[in-house]
Amino acid sequence: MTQLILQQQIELQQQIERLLTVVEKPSRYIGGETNETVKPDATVRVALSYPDAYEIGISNQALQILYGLINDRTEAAAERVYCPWPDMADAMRLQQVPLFTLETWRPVRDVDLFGITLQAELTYSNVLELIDLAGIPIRSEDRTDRDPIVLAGGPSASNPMPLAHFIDAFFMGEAEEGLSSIIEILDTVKGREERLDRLAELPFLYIPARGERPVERAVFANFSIDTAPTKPVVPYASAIFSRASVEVMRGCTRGCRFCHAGTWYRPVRERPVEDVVKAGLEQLNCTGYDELSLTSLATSDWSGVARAVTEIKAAKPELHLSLPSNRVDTGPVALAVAANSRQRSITLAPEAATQRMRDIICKTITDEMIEKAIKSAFAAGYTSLKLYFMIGLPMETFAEVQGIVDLGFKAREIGRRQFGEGGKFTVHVSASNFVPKPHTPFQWDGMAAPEQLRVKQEYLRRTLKGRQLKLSLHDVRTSMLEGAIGRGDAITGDVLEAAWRAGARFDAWTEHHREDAWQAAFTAAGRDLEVEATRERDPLDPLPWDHVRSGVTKEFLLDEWWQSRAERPTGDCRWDGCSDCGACVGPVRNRLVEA
Amino acid sequence: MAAAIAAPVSAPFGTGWWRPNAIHPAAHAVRIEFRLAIRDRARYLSHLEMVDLLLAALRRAGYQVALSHGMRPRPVISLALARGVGVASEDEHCTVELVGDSHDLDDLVVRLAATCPRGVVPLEACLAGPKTAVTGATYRIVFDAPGETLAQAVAAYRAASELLIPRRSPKQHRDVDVRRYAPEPQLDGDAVIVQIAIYDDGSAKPSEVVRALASCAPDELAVAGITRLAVHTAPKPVRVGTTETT
Ligand code: SF4
Repeated sequence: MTQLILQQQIELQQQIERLLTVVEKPSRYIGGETNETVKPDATVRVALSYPDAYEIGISNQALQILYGLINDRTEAAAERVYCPWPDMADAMRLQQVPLFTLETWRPVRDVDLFGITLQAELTYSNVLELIDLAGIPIRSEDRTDRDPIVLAGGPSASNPMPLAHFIDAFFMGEAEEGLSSIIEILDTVKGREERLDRLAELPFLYIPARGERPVERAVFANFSIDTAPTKPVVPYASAIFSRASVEVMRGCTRGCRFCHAGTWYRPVRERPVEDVVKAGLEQLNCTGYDELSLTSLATSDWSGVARAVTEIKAAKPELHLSLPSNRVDTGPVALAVAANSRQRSITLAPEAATQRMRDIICKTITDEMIEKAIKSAFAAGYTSLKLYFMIGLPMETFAEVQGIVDLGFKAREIGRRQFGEGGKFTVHVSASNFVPKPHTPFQWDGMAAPEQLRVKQEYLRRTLKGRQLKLSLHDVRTSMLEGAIGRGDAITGDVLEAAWRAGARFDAWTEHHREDAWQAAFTAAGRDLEVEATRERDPLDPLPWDHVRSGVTKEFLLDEWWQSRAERPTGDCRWDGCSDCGACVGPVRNRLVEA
Repeated sequence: MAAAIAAPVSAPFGTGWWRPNAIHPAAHAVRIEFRLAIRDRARYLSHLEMVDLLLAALRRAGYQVALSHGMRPRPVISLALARGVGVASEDEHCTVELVGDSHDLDDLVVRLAATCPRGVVPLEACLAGPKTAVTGATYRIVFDAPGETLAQAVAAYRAASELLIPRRSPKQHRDVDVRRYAPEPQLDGDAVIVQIAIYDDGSAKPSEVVRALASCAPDELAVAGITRLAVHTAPKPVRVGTTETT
């Protein structure tokens, strides 16, 4: 390292230290956590980012997996960076401190690859904030050899168009196998244009500057046989999740028609029980956590769940074992009790309260199953029952909203039978707003109008109240924004840039959400936020994300859309036979473990 | 090291480490004190983050922290004196109850050193003695200012009869006479060494001493860093009729 660079680095570190004395929660920016990796001599440097605050970003399992993968299995060094909180961002701009990585406090602009995960549309303004704070030109076309390749991945990259002006390359699908090819190119090819040319040869990368050619979603076929990561970075106390976690299964073929992950991660690949138990126990030792979470899209569907719970509890009887994302129809209560007998809160997600709506959205559970699950939850001693629903779904009538109210009261009645009229228990009803997602059967549907959502929310508020009942609702404004961006196109990118320039950032945080900035930006682009969110698409019209091949065919999605109109659910291919969605090709197929 | 630890600053429920089904109060637990340094970037960790971090480090090192009695058992761990964010320390006192009949204390320091993150350095450990009260702490405050300015500031500070510094927080709105708690700052090169006392009615923060010094300086007085050098303790008064257990 030359003397000059070293000097600049020392100066930057001194500047950062000065900022840390004046900002809120400086521990967000210091790095140095247990299991962090520093590779000073790496020839390729990568900055991995989650476009939200440290406490959200560090809890993201996908980024932790990639961090471990790059550092442990390649010659490259991966460092982390999260979106500086507004107080820090403002101070950085004022003092001209560029965005820096946590590990070495070196400028992000100096890395070879700036990877940003896109987990939610409401973080898009923060993507621009990150690029700008790094001192990288906002638009790809203005970047030079001095700038890193800005790459975005994650589920929301499945519609890359709203960010196509700002991102050099989009990674479609699961990055475990493809990342090494990218790093190899960065290691051997110099020069921005040359690198982009070579990257464009990779089938899973979409490079906007090289045109809209078809891009294939990468599927990690070897998920089941690959070892699960065991050394995640242990966040400081403020993180939203502080626990060990092992991904037990990838993909879900239940086929819920609103669910993006249900298409994007097909087919189902399960991890063997032995590997999960081993990785879980190793993670506990390496992290010092006293909680282990077995994660997946629907952990109670994992064939190995019962055996794994038994084995882990036998090895660590006092461990707090959590099984998120349990389905109502796969014995969630018994499983939850086995995993963690002293937990007092349980979550069930019927998503819709009437049989008709569950048939429309393809949630194959019955009223009896829901009632049985509630009864067994209270009988098992749970005193806090959370029920998750959605409102504003396609073809929803008022009967569906009334159904949520009725089910809430029915749950309370069951609770009272168990604990007595004045018993100490809570039924917590949560109703989120349906937002249509690309690559799902509902991608052609619009959102419900904001007034409709507000009327329904108001009705829930008025009726679902009383002792032992709690209700939580999602902000309609942010849901509309999510809907307007999520299915957007390149013009949405212009809107995004204008909104960010007008001060939009941290849109998912109510205290920072700037509706005025967004409304003005949509208007300036000749569009209307609400129209964009509520607009139905004609199945014959091209969609902005048509060039992204998820593996699941458009014909299958359209068939599913028709089935929803016929109020008919489709079976799960794991048990009811293949419905020919297109996701299984060659070695990529459902892989279940022996229970 | 100082004999024992004062009234525990207990970590509250909800910081992530408390779990309802963790081990219940252990029949056999040893109360241990260890001293540690907090250096470099680790000084930006808050008091609660530090408690959390030490708990996880102890677990990684293979120790089981005993839980308190009561409806909501919590790990028995405390740091003697809360430290301001950004203040480094060469003398943090941590008391913890570890499950087991006995523990090799040198081994504990070695194992903990291997599991603590960058900047958190265990120094030594001993069996906890009788409970003590924290009576004050000594700090070294390094300034980025000409020596003459600093010397004048220290002289003016010491000559003042009182130095009122406003303390504003959502809960508090009052002026603190900093000089009463820290009467004798000493010049030490580009730094000031100051002992800040803790009385029954409160204390002054190192940052308030800095502000008081700045108010006495003829020119701007920028701080380059604050390090806690020592925590001072005294035996806790034992009420007649109560027995101290160790
Ligand atoms: S191709 Fe068939 S078996 Fe494979 S995920 Fe689709 S429906 Fe299931």
